[in-house]
Amino acid sequence: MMYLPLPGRGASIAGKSTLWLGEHHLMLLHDGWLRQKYRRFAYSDICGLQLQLHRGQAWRGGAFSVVGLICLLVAIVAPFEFKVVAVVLLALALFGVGAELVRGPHCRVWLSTAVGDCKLPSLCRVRTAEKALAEIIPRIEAAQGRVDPGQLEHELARLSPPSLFESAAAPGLQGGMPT
Amino acid sequence: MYCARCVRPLQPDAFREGSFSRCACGASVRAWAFPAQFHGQPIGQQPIARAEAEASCYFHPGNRAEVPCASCGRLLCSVCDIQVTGAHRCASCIEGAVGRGDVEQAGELFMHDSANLMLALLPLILGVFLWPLIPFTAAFTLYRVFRYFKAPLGPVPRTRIRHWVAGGVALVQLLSVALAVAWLVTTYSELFSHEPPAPPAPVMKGGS
Repeated sequence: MMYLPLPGRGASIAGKSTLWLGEHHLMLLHDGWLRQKYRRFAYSDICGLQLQLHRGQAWRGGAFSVVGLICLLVAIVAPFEFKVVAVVLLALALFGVGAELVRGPHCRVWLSTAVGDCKLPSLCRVRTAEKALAEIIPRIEAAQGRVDPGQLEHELARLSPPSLFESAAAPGLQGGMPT
Repeated sequence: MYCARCVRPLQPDAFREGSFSRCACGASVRAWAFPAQFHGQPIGQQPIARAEAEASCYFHPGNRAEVPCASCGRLLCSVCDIQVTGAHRCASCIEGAVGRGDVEQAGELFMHDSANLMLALLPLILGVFLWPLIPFTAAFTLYRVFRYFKAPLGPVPRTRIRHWVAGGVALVQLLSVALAVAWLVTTYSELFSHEPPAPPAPVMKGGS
């Protein structure tokens, strides 16, 4: 079977995660130091996808900026021997800030099936996630069809907890409400 | 659908094309729902009891057969039927396939090429502590490279470059050790094999 790679790579100390498009399923591959683990999600079993902006990683850009500023100050004030080191560090910090800006904001993506949710670690940037989801969603819709908007609203209304106003206006309580 | 962070139901705005909705927990969410969300759960669906003239499931004689296994041909009821990559299979065939290392159905695979590369490079990285082991690790790496060169590399494209690099590094290590041993042997043999200086030849005095 041929798998097509999707954009995005979630790297950590334990290995890297990537997503692959199969003919009938989506495969999440975790490539560890010595083992590869595979999770397969049939397109017909995927119930939903969820993308959340993640601001927890925004400190990276700030940290690079602070380091860059310190290096700039050192480069201006310090003697020549330190200036060389400071300029090199400044260049690295600027590269970090630039890379953060170019790669865009962070996000987290979850995939839901009937038995649970699974986080997709490879989709950690909004731009990458949008590119990957643009490949995945048509395949899911080809396997399942599109959801009816009316049915979606009905189901969401069913899931939503009744508001305080609604519970106060419930038939059992109406008689006790002060007028 | 629920927010993955706070498990509150998502607002309808979250499902609108190209827009983020703010959940009560403060998360900016965009979501997509598919018809499977609203279907009944297929897991554990009720099997149909077999009538007199109907075929029975191989594993459950009381249930009506629904489909044959694509691998072994046994008839399966809805309880035993497992769909893998579009084909219907029974649990025993899937178990056997995974045991044989069938990469199409495996859930996990040991990567021999990565192991070989690690085995070849680890003594170099931790050289201070492990250098006496280099001849043994290099020989073992070469053995493993030959033994597992054709082992499956997983369902996704992957080259055998790690095997080649591990084999090359192991060969260089073995050659280096051999050269070092040869140099030591020649050096020390020269040092310790000094012959005592020859006694001066007797001077013949006079003569006839």
